[in-house]
Amino acid sequence: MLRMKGVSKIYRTDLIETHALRDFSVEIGAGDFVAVTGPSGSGKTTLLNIAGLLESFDDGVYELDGIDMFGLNDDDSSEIRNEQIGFIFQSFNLVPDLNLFDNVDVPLRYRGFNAAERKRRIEQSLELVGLSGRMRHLPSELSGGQQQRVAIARALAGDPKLLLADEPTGNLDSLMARQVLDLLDDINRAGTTIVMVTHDDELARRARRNVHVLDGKVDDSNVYQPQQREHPVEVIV
Amino acid sequence: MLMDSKIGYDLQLALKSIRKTPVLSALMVAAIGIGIGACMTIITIFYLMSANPNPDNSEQLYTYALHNRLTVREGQEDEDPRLLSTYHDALYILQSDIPTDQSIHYQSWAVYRNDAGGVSPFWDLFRLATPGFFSLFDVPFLYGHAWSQEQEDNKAMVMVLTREMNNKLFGGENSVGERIEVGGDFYEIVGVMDLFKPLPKYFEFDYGTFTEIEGALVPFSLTPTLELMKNSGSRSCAALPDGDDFQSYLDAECHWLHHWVRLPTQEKREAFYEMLNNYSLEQRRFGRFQGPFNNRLFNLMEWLEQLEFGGGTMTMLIGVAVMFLIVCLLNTNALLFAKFTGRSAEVSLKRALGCSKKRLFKQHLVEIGLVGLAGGALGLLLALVGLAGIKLLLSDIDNLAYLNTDLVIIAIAASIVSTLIAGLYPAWRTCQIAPAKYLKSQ
Repeated sequence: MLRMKGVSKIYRTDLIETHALRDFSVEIGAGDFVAVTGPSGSGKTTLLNIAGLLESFDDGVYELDGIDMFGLNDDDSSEIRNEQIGFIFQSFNLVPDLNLFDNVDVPLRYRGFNAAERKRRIEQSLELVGLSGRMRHLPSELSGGQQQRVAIARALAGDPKLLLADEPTGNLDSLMARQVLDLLDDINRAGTTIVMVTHDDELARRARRNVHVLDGKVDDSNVYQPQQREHPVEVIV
Repeated sequence: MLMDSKIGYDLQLALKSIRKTPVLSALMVAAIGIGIGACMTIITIFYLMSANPNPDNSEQLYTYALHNRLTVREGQEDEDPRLLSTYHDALYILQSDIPTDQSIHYQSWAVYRNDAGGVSPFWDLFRLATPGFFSLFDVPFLYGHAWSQEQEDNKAMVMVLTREMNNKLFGGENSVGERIEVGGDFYEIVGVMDLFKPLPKYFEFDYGTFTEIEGALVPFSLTPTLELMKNSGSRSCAALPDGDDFQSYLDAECHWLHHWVRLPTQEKREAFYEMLNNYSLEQRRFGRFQGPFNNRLFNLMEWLEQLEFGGGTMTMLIGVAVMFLIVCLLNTNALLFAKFTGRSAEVSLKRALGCSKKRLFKQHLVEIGLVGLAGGALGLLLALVGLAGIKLLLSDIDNLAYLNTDLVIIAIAASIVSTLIAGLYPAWRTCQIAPAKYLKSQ
């Protein structure tokens, strides 16, 4: 599903060069649920951004579903982001002046679906996250957990192969965090590959495996270590 | 259906964005509106002044300037000839059979009376013209017709009214055959014009070229009988009359008559020009004209150019108005930068969700276009206010101070296009935001 080999990313300014990723290699299979862990500044978010085609990389190979992602033009990378990748962010990143329906609609608009298809997908994904009754509400009328569920609905509406989550529970209290994780578990069980950045060990244990990143490289001692699930999967609706 | 399309969605987003920042949006619309309003006020006047008032015949209608200097001062040998004719010259040239149509004419004024019609006496203008005036300038008739050449030759007391004067004197009824008193003399009405409003009034230039035509026309041949001359405007005289009688005034070297001819072919134009030169040569032989010939023949548009309609001051004013619009657009540009910078996080998110730079750029252009449209509408309102102000200041220009459909379309299009130009760079810059840049910071 996702293969990186020898990927490097350097941020340059006039004065300094920062190696965010160095010769980074990882393989993630279809249907996997991977937690990317590591200390702040280790390169987790850079890894996620490159995986999501939000940033380019300087060297190495990155293949998504067997297709080389190096040097894609903006149109192609936008299309892949739109059709194959879903994003969940720590700060939800909902458009504040759009209601839930329209927020979920944003990526679908760029997909070119007709109105009926969009409506079907929006309703289905909001139903999945338990917010179908609040479609006309604005994000500001929801709790943090509910907003993140809207973000998940938005990510799922396009039926992506890969879901990238960057600290999805970072802004939530423990109860809401658990609800969101349960939801991600359920989505993963349904077949969607999930890569989740976190530096919360407890959350990391919920994933099938961990990739520990240190100084822009995979910390081998943590790679491909199967994790024991601590909690049974529940769907909170 | 529209809202389901890409453009419909972009319009929806643009309207939301405009509503979201009402003060900034209002400032942008105001800046564009003021710039467009100022430009359109000036351009409206220029456009209508520069328009061809008789496009079907403008290549055939000619007037001339005869180099008829009685004395030539040193260093002024190449001076332009006078644009008006003397009575003597005009009557001579009127006899030429080279033009297929021609007319000499001038303006005068008198008291109009129609006591039988219950209309109070009033001062108004009228024009004395040879009957070729009506065919030469394609004057339409509502009732009756022009007076004949025979009536002209016989100095018949006949008159053609404008539609407006007929409305005033006869309530719009067919007045052909009626008699009215003008300047103490009675005239029989032989025709009533339909709407005749050439702008500019090209066959005249010294009584307000943008005023309406005089209320009535009477035969030019009545000039000596009525002892009428042009009683205001340009009447430059190179020499004093020889005597005190009216004929001496007519024979004097005074330039006061307009003379227009129809010359439909190149051969006729060349023949007419040769005739003017021969006439000048003959007059020189008689010891009347001095200096080298510089006779000129102008077609309608060359004539308007000669009068510098749309030239000189107008060009400068347009330049100033365009500069002002540019300043307004620079302000708009800065406001757009401020507005778009404030939405970096949203742009970043949309890019992450799969919106390409091109699509995002188009979305921004739709919003900029909407602002331009609103600015254009405001500009039109301000142009109307500006034109109303010009009407108050310059009564001559009254007939020009209106916006026609062409100008409304030009104003809206100019506003949208200029706003798009002003917004291209801010929109492009905004679309260059890296998708990942603001996702963490929101």
